[in-house]
Amino acid sequence: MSFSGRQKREQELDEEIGSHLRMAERDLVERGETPEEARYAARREMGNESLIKEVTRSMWGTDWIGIWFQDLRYGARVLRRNPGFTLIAVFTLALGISATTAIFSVVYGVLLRPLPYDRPYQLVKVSEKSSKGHEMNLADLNFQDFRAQNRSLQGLAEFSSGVASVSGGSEPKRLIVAMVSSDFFPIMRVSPIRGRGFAPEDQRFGAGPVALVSYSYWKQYLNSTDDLSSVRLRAENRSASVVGVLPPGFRFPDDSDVWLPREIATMLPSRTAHNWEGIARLRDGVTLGQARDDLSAIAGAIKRQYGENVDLVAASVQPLQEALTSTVRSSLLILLGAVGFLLLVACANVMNLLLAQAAARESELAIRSALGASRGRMVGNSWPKRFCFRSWAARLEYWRHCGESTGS
Amino acid sequence: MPQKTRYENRIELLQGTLDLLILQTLRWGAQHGYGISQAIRSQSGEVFQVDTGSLYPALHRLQKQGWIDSEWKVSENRQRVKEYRLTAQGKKQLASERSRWKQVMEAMAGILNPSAGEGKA
Repeated sequence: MSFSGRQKREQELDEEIGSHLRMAERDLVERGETPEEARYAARREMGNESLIKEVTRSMWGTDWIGIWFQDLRYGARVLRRNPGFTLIAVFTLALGISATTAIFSVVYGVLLRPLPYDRPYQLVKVSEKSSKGHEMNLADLNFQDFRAQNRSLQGLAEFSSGVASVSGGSEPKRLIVAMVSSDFFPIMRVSPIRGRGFAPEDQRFGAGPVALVSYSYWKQYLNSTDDLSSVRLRAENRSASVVGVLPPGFRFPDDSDVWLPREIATMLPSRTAHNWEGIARLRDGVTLGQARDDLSAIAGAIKRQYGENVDLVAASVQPLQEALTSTVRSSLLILLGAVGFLLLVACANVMNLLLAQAAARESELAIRSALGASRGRMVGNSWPKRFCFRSWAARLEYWRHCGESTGS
Repeated sequence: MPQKTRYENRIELLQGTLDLLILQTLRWGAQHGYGISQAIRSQSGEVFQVDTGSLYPALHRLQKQGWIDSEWKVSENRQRVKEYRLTAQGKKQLASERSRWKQVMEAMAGILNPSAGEGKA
């Protein structure tokens, strides 16, 4: 029912009860009572007028919104009367809420938010598995077999990254330099925003070294130059000409700033030199389990062929996000659980305060029940207070957050 | 939960009685709340005292169910009063409530005067 419709009904109910009283009064006067006596008698006979109205109103159907507003106003009034209590409760809850949201935002950013790549769920980390179940990086020959024989991957690349001094820009800098094999950028679905990517002729042993740089390096140390042809970088006694700039934000792996083709470095003809990390993109519709079985079969064949000379027995395929966060995952979740409990403790403390308050308000409750407040309404009255606390505490947390972000 | 059903039945019966009395009173024409309570009182030989606290909720409930209808009128004392009138649906309801009440009466009579019942059988 609309709000105005309800108001009109309310008025009509007042009028209806009023006319009932007047008629009763008049009848009593006609029977010889004084107007004064008649008025009292009529009211006595009627009983609790507001209770009658309340019960009648309840026949219209429950006015949840009206009750909600009433309770809310009531809650605010009670809180204003007890500023000390309110302050403590709000601060307790604010503490609990802010700790929880702070940790949650970290958990969200690290564990829950999908990686910022195209179809991140298809990206996986590929490793070899030893007989003891350890995960190991890929050895060159095994990588080549995996890459050539698998039927579940769109592409498999090996990469490694390390810190190196890079000069050639406006100033020398210690940066992360990554060496990536030919499938790497197609797997990540990243292409340069300036210049070109690695061409097949760059990706072979003995080729004239070329490099890609990150957007931030290009901006900061190459002065956002459009003429890349003149830029040569020196990294660890290897000199490379810059051929392209990757889009802003792309720094994989490990916040790299320079990418070199892996193929310019020597290939180790070994099956036990676990030097390279593996990254792959699953084919459409292929599950993790299928890819794992596929690669493990290849690993099994290698093991059968070379026996004691290799140490892999299977392959491990792990979602990339999980692989990247595996070291912090459990501690973050424990932290989240801990602050969750902190919030619970805060709630319990406020509950205790409310209980103490309720004991102090015994007489008020007695009066209200004598005036005809239903049990449901009296219980209902206590939630808006909690709601007020919550919203104030949340607001406090919001201000703190704003303060932090403007301060930093 | 036999206990609960019994409890509910009792409430329903009490409510039903007031509903029946109101509907029956309105059969003779439109009437306002005070008039209904006075009519029930006088017709029952002052036995039934209709509690205002039950009357108005009952009236509003009956109206919501569509058995009675209301209209604001000006009484002979030039007072604005809300009069209730039986609807067609209400008339049907009255008939069914009456027959139900008759059943209750007969059943009660059967229990309270067992000899009469045996004599009949």
